Amino acid sequence: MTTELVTSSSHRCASTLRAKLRACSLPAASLYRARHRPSSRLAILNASPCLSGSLGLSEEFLSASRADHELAVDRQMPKTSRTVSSRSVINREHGTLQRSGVVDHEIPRVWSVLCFYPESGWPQRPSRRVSHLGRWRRSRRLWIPRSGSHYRPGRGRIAVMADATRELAMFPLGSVLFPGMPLPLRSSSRATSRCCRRCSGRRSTSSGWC
Amino acid sequence: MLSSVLGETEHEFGVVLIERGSEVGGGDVRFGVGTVARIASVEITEGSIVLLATGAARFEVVRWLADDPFPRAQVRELDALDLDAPTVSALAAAEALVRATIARASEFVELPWSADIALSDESAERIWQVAGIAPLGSLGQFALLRSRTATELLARLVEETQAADARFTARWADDRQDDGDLPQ
Repeated sequence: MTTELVTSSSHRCASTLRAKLRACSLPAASLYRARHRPSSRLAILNASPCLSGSLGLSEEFLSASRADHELAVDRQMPKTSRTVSSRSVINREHGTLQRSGVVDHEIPRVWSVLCFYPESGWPQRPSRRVSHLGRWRRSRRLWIPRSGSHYRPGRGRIAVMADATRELAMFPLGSVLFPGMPLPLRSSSRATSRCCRRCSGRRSTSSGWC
Repeated sequence: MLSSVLGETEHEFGVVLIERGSEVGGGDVRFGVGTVARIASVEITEGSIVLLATGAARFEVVRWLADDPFPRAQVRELDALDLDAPTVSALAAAEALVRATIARASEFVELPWSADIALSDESAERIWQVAGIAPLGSLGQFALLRSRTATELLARLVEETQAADARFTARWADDRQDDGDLPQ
């Protein structure tokens, strides 16, 4: 992934983030999205090998970016869930990684960051459409929801949705493979013979994995 | 493709159903939902490859990439199905129907799975295995694969299996009628 792609994707994601922030201000939407949907995405993020080391989206990054991006961390979240960052941090790191020669496709792409302050505030002033649901505290730069309203963004959740897309080699078949089902394949074409020679060169043993 | 897949950290590739066209030669049209196949073993002998993979997560194709030298796509994995207690009991009923249909259908056609095949103890995996052994055509199976919820999957599975059972029963009746027409 090139820097241009990251940048354009970042702009695109900014609008997505705004849309999601609006969506989360709707009744019954925020709790579900913040607690459940992103959890699997977080697992994907944490499973990514590039999240350790220089691109480990650590607490320091969050602290550093909090001032700029008004991110907040929920202290009740598991430790692994805090290893998140804003897209701009990733973009900044992207440059660092490029200079250090790390392969492009190892760089994670954060799709959007939904951040909620733990003290039931909102880091940005929402649109006028929801102005009747709370008030804007200029001194604290927080949006305080009105009591009795469903507008409860500040449950102290930080939800990160990663761009979980990945590139995958595809094998079109005339049958359907289901999860948990075996797929035996046998090939003996000329192309297979070439592939055999290459694969045999790659591994000294001819019998497989697992 | 295989040499590329084996060279990666995770030995995985995607399997999608061909909508139109053939498996070889390219130019085929493919469906946009498939399953990640995780290579469990591969045996490379002189001139042939025997590969055994297992289906893992489902995915949807976000964007097809160039086919050269082999098909690739940008995919997004779909969430696993959530199974609650009523769904698990519905799964048991659907499984009984599928096994009964397999037992009946095996009288007429050769099926890859027997009616008493052992399945996984985990419901999340078992529900897909029940769908996988159902004696359905490719399009019917694909309709199951693209289900978004467990309830939707089981409803489709029961509907498709009952339709398949009706087809087998009708064929059986036709065969009996043909036998009756034979000269004694």
